[in-house]
Amino acid sequence: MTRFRPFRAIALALSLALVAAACGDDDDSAATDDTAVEETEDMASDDAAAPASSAEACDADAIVAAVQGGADEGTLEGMTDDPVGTAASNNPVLTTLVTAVSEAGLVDTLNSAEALTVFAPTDCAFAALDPATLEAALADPEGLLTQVLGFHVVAGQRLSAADLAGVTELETFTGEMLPISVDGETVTVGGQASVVVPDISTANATVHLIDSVMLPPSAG
Amino acid sequence: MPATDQPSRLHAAALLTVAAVVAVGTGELAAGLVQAWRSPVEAVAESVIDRSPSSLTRFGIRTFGTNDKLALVIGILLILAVVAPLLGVASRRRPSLALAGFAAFGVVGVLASLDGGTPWSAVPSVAAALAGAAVVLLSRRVAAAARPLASGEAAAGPSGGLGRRELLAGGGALVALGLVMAAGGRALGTRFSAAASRAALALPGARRPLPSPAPGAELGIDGLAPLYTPNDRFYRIDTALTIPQVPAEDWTLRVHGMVGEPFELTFDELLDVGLVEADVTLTCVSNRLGGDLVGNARWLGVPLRTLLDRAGVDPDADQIVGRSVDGYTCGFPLEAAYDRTCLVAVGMNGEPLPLQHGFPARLVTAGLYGYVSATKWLAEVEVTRFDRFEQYWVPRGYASLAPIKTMSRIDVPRSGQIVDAGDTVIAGVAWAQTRGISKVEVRVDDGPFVEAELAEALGDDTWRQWRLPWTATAGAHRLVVRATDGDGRLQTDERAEPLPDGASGWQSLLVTVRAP
Repeated sequence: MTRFRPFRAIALALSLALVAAACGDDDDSAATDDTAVEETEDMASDDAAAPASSAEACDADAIVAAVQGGADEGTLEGMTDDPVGTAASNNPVLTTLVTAVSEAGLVDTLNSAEALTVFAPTDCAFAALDPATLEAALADPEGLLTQVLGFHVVAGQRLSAADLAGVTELETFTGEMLPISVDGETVTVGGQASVVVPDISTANATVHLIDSVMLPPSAG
Repeated sequence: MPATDQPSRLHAAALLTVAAVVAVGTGELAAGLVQAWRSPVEAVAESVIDRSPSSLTRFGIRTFGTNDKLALVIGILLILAVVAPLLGVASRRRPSLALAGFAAFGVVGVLASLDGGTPWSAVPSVAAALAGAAVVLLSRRVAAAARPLASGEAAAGPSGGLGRRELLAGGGALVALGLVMAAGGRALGTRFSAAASRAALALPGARRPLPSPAPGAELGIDGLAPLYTPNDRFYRIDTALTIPQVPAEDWTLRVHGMVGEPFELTFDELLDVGLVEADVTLTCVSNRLGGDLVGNARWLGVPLRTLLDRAGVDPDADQIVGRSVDGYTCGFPLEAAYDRTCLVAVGMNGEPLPLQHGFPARLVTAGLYGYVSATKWLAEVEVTRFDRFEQYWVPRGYASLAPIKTMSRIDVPRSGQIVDAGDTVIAGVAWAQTRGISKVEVRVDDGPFVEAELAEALGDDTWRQWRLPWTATAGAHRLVVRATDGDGRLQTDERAEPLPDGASGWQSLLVTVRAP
């Protein structure tokens, strides 16, 4: 069941550093779609306690709790809005992803793209990944790690969860095809991951938090 | 149970809400009458933004995006909508509370209006408070007059006298009046738009116009930033809640501070000083690696030094402060007015400054980030000292000295673009204003840095286009770019965030090449 929760929407929009720009240039001042976050969820509680570790923030409620508990307001710098690479670094449930993106040297690439759709695995998703695979990827930042991360990014368009209902596959950043299937409220990506929190807007990307790290076909 | 001579909670709450609507409407109407009179709500919103710790401002920016200021206005109205009924309930036992409430809001409005305005700016706030108080007093008089009539009836309304119907009708009429006044005030205010003034303005040419750029300065590659950024695509960064509306006819520039002879100029007098043209690339301190908060234009204006010389600068002065009509200030070293291009600009790419870029006049200074050197809607040039005045962004954590760092950017291929294998081109721009660009190099994957071909330079104050032919092979490739300035200094590879004095580092881009 989908419910709109303004408080959560604001909390997410705030803490995920998502939005456009008092200082944006004229061109992309309209780039922000919206800050409303509609969520699919099956937990009844609004007051899930903040998890002890971000890796335990696995469902929408826990993620919201982590974000609310962990936002560090003073660290954001700059007079402009934040592009996705920077925005993610202010999100407490994306710490592993941010480290990986930085290791792979992809921060500029993500920040300077005009329009992206990003499927962002949460810390919970990384915790569930086979440790050997993660180690192998981190040991080869410009190779395997880049291949894996690139498989999570679609360039050239900002697709909302509603837009995803109209597609069956997308060409990713690294040229590999990413299958998409939507069944009611459930969006499955790459046949491997589900969208947990959809439609987070940053200056240049629409971000969907997902529950698994997706391995591209080329990674075997 | 309330005492019989006290209005019901509902009535009291509704009364103050109605009075608040009338007050806000009156304030807006008044603000629409005279340009210098400020809307109380907008004045408070601007004051809040100016006084917020920068972390809070960024919270607003991130949460509400370009609508952060609108959100603040709505927030203020919501606060009024909550406080007014509460105050109404509280005033049942202490009627003076209602009037005190309007007085308090009036004082807040007045203080906010005076913040960066003139004493006259506060007129609408005073009018709003008086209107609110008047509604309260009038309603009490009406209620008092009605009470004797109703006193004999057992079913006297909960309001103590007037029937529900009359109350609803009266309240509804007042709310409608308030809304009409607010809408009318907003509509009237649009006549202060400077658009008509700009449309009617024909700028004289420069005494010695710059030649057209050499054909070789523009490489004309699809996707590469054009040599001159069109005005409607030029980045805009400022702190203005609404774009200040300053008709050229009403504009004056005050040159004062540590000078022998302070003076004031009208727009026509400024033009009579004599105009020059200059190509200058402006850069925002917030521009990130690969970012687009940078743009190049041909500016038309009066050299600031001409005005300073006329005023006679005190030798002890070391800072120029440019103050906008809305109170924003930039500040930069005095010598920058003498050792580089520094204009009070009135024209941009062949037309009067667009409203959002500072019509009718702004500062343009080569080689310094915009926040320290490029005040828009310029109202005053004050000659002072760094130890006597801190410009707007300095207490907010930014550096007071902010020369533009040497920077290079890849425009082609675009980030995220999937390129077909074969012969293609890598291209972009590089800038090191006042020093110029002498070299741009690109590294592909683990290869060596290869020197790119530079377009002809427009000047040392502008960016320079570059290109490098590339035979792209299938797979993922990493491109890294770096520039060397005209003094032979290599762009630093030390990565830094924009705060406090500009981003640095070499931009790195992942490009995917598709097999043929």
